This record gives sequence, C-alpha cells and structure tokens, in this order.
Amino acid sequence: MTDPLFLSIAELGAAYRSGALSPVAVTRLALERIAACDEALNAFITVLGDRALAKAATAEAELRAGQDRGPLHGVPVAIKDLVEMAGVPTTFSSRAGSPREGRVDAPVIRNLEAAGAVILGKTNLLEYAYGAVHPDFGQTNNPWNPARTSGGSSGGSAAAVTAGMCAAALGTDTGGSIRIPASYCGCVGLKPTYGLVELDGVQPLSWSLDHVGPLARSCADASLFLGGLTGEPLTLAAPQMEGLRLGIMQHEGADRWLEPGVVARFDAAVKILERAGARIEVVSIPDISLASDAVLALIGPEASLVHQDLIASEPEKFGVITRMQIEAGFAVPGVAYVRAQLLQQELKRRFAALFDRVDAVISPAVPWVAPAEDPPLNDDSGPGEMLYSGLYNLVGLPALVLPMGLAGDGLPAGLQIVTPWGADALALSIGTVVETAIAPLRPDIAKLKR
Amino acid sequence: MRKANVSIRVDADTVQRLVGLGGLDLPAERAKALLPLFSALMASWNRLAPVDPAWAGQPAPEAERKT
Repeated sequence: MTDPLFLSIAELGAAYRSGALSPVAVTRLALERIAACDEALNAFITVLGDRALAKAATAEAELRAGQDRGPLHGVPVAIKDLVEMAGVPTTFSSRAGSPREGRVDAPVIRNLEAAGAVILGKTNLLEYAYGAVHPDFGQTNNPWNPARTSGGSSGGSAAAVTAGMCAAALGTDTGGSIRIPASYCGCVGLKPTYGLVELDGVQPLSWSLDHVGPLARSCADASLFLGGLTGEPLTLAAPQMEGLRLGIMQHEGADRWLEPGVVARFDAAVKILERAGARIEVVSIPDISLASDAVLALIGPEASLVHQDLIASEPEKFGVITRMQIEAGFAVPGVAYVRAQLLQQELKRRFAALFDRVDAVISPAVPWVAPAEDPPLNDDSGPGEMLYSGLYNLVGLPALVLPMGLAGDGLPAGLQIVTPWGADALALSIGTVVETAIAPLRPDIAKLKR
Repeated sequence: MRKANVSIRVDADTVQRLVGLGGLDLPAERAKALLPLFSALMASWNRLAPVDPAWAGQPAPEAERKT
C-alpha cells in the first residue's frame, strides 16, 4: 500500500470519506514520522501533538456526522514559526524577542483551521527569515542528503513536506524563501501574487517584498493549500497548452552560477512543455540584473525598522549575521532605497509589456542544487542564490517552483514558472503538465529514521 | 544612461556615524565588525546608480492594479 503520508490531499480526503483512513490515524502517523526523522532533519521547532490529535478527532467526528469542511478537512499541515497562533509560542528561530506567546490566531491560521486543517506544529526557519541560521536552532537538513541544507528561509516547511511529515506547509518568501527551499528539497512552492495572502499576524521582514504561500508535494496540493490560506478556493483549470506562449527569461551573468545538471534538467523541462504544445521563445528585460541589489536596498532599512526595538534592547540575542544585517540596514542611503523603488515600478511596467507577448515566463529556480549551508545574503554567492527569485518579489508576480528531476549529487532542482499578476492558477496549471511527465521525487525516508 | 562612479573608502568611524544617522547607537567595536558587510553593501548600492529618475511618477501597470 502507498505510504499514507505520501498521498495527495485529494487521495487523503477520498480515503477519509470512504473510511479507509481517518484523520486521527493519519495525524498519529505524521507525529510518528516527525519523531522518527526530525533528529536528522531539524524541521520542527514546536510539535503540537496533543493539540493536533484533538483537532484531528474533531475533524473525524465532523466528517462522520456529515459536516464536511472541504478538501483540507483532517489534513495534517505545518506552519513556519513566524506566524502567531493563540496560546502557542513563536520563536522566529531567534533568542531575541523570543519565544513570544501568541494571543490571537493570524488570519491564515483562522482560515486553515476553519477549513479543517490539522496543524501539527511550527517549522524551523532562518532567523527572522533574514538569511542566516541562529546557532541555537540550527540548520534544517535536506531530506535527500542531511549533510546539505534544505534552504531558507522556509527550509523547515519544505523538508517537512518532502519527508512526508505533513501534506502541506505554510512558508513566507521575501527574496526566494519559499522557492529556494522548494528547489533544494524537490517539492512545490508558490510565491503568490503580492497581497493575495493576508500578512496580518505574520512576522514581517520587508513589507515591500513579503509574501505568504504554500509548500506542497504537487501543484494540485499547493492549490488546495493556497485556497485554505486565503479562505477562497482556487480552481485549477485543465492546462490549455496548445499555443501557450512561454518565454525563457535570460539572466545576464547566469552562466557564472549555473550548474550543468540544472541546465540539463531545465532543457528537459522545456522539451516537455514544447511537446505539450507550448511555443517557446527566449525573452529578456533590461536591468533585471539589478533586481537583487534592489531587493537588498529595500530589505535592509525595512528589516532594521521592523527590529529597531529588539536590536537596541537585546542585540546580543540575535545570531551574528542577522545582527550585522540589522545594524547595517540603518545606514542604507535614502537614494539607494528610492532607486530600488523606482526600479521596482519600472520593472513592473516592463513585465506588463512582456505579458502582452507571452503567457508565462520560465527559468531555473536556483542555479545550483542544495549546498552544505545557506550562503549569506551579502557574500559572493548570496546574490547567485536569489538570481532567479528576488526579481519576482520586487515585481510581485506569482512565481511557482516545482521539481524538474535530480540534477546532481542525487539532489533535486526546481523549475520556476511566472505568470501575470492574479494568474496564480495558470502557473499551477502549467506546472501540472511538467509534474505529470516527471516521476515523483521521493527521498529515502528509512535513511532518515533514527 | 547616467552612472555615478563613486569610490569611497569607509572606516569604522564612518560606519558608526552613518548607522547613528539612521537612528541606532552603534558601539565602535561593532562598527569595525560591520566593515566587510558594509563594503559589500556599498558595492550593491553603487550598482543601482543607473536607475533613471525619469522613471518616477509613471503609472503602475493596469494588469497589476486590477489584482
């Protein structure tokens, strides 16, 4: 029998409704998987075992009584540990201002629980989602090879989904923090259109660039989870691939970073899309090479303002790199910040013009497979890691990452699909074409168990 | 396109003053520790110099405004 923890959300729902599986039984299995594998992965900071079992029992009773809350009813999920939940501590993977006891549920939590989702716990992240591991919390390791990183900052959510600890998880993305871990772990991650998912109750990093979105094992699951986050179901139409115009986005200097295995998987993904009927052309937009610099110029001062009280009152409680980044952000020149905003607006206009010509834009998600550790934002490799991702935080377009196969060292690489504002469902629909042509990627869970 | 080529050498005193102007009182030893990061950030800010001020004031794309 298929491992119940690797069933799709639709399969899980069908099994619940037929009586083949129950929310309590699946929640127990998920908690057992976390207990068995999390020593190797370090994906969870807080496991809410009793709470989850109680919620699962409620979901089970409701389903038996015919009270059906929809596709997420009884489905085990996880939450990045920077979202407020009533009565639950939030650590932000930091010692500064942490742990903070939640007073109310963030709207995304309210929406997910109203949809019947069972929250198993809160997942590890880079400290305050700001690009660096706090040593007390440690790195989330990659389910494909625990000697490699899961990426950041939503690495805990990506690892948990990939290892079958939960069916889907909430992540946040300010420069690639959903999509980079999705690429490294071989799962699906969507940074939705800017503003689609409410940010209230989610710890900010940079209000100009912050997004909340799903990590899941398929585009269909990501779609269902996104609907749970917003409270508005998202309908995935069958992809109309014949004549679909896809642009391969050119990135100046990418050759410096791109690994041959990633290039090979990307070329194979393009062929899949072409065979499905898409018309492929190469596209470019002037000045996108400046996007990562603009992202840094926006994050710097915004993150410093977000943390101005904590950096003054308990600076030593931040990790070394996070502390330096927050301190340096106070000195970002106004001219650099405004130039970043001007570039942001201009690139939006250029993308709007591009989308008159193509329906979607594709690229690799990250130029390489998972490294041993996450590169710092400001060293030589940091800009390379967000070469393909930060640009879309800047312009707010929906950007989906899904696995395109194993690319090197037995590690996955991701394909990024970007569509116009509000066309999140189109990105997911195109993604289904690729994922149905590629065998599902499953890491060897037995190797992770203690 | 215009590009300002600025080459400034920063020392810990300068970093301390600039961070202080932003509102954070930074001890001297912290300013010294920030120097490598600050140099990388200065290079990044300089790369934004080609951004054209004439881009200001133009309307956001209609497609974005609809969402």
